[in-house]
Amino acid sequence: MEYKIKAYIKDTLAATPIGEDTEATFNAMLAGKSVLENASEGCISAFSPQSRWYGMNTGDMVIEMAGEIARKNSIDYSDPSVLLIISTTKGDIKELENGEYLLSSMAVSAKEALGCANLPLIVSNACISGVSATVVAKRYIEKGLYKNIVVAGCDRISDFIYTGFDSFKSLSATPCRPYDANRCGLNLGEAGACLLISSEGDIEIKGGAITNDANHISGPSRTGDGLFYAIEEAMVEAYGTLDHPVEFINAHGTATLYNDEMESKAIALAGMAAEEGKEGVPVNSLKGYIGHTLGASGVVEIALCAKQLEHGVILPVKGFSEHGVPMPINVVKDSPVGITSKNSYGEGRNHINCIKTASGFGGCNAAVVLEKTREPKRENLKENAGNGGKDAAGEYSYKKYIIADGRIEANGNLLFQGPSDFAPFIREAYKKFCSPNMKFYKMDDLCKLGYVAASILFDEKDMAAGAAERRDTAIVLANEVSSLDSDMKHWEAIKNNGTASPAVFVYTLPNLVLGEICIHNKIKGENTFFITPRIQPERGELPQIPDFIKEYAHILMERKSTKRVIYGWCSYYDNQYCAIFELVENLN
Amino acid sequence: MEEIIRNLKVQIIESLNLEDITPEEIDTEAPLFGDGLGLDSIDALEIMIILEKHYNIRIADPKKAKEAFYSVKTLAEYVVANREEQ
Repeated sequence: MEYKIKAYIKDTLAATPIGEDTEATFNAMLAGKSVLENASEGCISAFSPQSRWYGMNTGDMVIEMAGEIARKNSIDYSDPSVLLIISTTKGDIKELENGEYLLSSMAVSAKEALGCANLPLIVSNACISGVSATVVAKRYIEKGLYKNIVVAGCDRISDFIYTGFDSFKSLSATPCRPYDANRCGLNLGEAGACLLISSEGDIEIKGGAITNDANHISGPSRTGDGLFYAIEEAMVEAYGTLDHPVEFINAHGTATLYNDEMESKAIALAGMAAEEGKEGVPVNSLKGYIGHTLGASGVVEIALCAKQLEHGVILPVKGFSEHGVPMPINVVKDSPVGITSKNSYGEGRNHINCIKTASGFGGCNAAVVLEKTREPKRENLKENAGNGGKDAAGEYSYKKYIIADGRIEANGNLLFQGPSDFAPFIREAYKKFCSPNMKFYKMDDLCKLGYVAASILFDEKDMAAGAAERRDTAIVLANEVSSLDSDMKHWEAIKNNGTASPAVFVYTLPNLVLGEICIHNKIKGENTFFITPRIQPERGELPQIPDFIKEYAHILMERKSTKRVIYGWCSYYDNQYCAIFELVENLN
Repeated sequence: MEEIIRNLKVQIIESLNLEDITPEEIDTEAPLFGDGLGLDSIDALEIMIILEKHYNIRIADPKKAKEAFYSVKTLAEYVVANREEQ
């Protein structure tokens, strides 16, 4: 019999403007509280001056919270079996007021402050960052690489973020109304949260998946297929089938027109919407209580999913009154719903469960399946259930592409040499290697770099075969500067004109390069962007792909669903550029 | 009208980063979105900014302006109509 380590949520700490910890936030939600009704201009869910988190920057909040949850559980970051994973979209981007801001500095500061044996990882995957980071943590625990992982999510709302969302016309001036017929946009919110993910605990992370819908960089899929694939893959990993009872789905539910519409379609594709004789799996969104907390949202909401399972209660969607999405999903309305024995333990199951999903810019989607067993067993071995987790034997082939300094190398051979200045270089490289695409010139420079590198990597034969979508292909990239080049442009526009350009703002997320690559190559598998300091052996030498990126790519290769992974380094800032892409492919 | 059409084309090329395209290559009557120039929702937001910045026309509800956004010609007509009202 095959055994495997399981990953559990052992403890949580979620701080929001309605509660200083998870329990307080959960109780406030049960009581229907929100600060959005009384929010001043902009309708932001912000910490009040009375909160201990008021005015604290993102980096400090992560350190404070990660420290607190570790102390409470007697975990020490100096222990090499402990890892911190930070989930954030922009970190302390307001620091741009004082010049350049390196997102990777958050990891360095946290390492120093907490005395970490391992350099903390940063996942910056737009609005799915929190769920992404949790999926990464789950895989690490199951692989036995770490015993305890703290996932810490945090973002603060600054002019940078507010003005950008405003230019997208996605903000609501009144409290948001997820899934409602009269919904008119999202509210931004501040929060910070930690999950302690461990090889023991009460709530198991039974399945997890990250996908891309390869449709558009800001508009969600028209069909909901990407999110559906994430739900399907997570459920198959958890139970071996999509057709297994689920107590509730805590979806992203931002209350923008298109997000909620897309989610309803994905849930229907999963067979979880209402049908004749079936009321559908209850669906909720917590945005009406705390707004959209960006990089923190997945972490906060997973913490609250754990609370809902623990208390056997499903929270209603605050702000929802009239069904307003295309598919008949079962939105939880008005008051909390108890998880009764009828739909759970009574059916002969020994557990209750939920699915948490998120979707974001760059076309990314993520889902996790959380399960609470009636009588928690704390042993950390399990029979290997889903096929998603099974190790796939394989013979791997590798290819390596480097773009830097006016040169493109493929597997050590010079493929192309052009001017070293980025603008003329990438233009020539694009014309030589890529088929014409109107969208290319609209991309920011980070995306242009990744786009050309990926286009070269998928050779002609492969491209022809790739007319169909690639659910079996994953991309994992990293850099140290995030999207700093576009961040600076966006910030300059705000400073000079007081307004933002949506075409610039959309690129202020590093995972947009994954989105552009996925759209062009129809890649629908995992896509994750890490931020980490540059490893550069000598000045003038090329940076190295960090070991953890290679390791993570190979963890993905062990999944049956993955046939190839593109992994590497992709960095652009102020005419300094470097893309090192490796492709690992299973030949079997 | 001709001048507005010409200006709109230049402004669209500039703010939408349509490199390798000249104003002459944009068909005045062809659809801007979907087929035609292949613009998307982000481009629509950028065109709204063009209207605001260069013609002082604010569109509160983009859905109501859908017909105006069909082609450069309809856009120019919209500009003319809404300027006269001011």
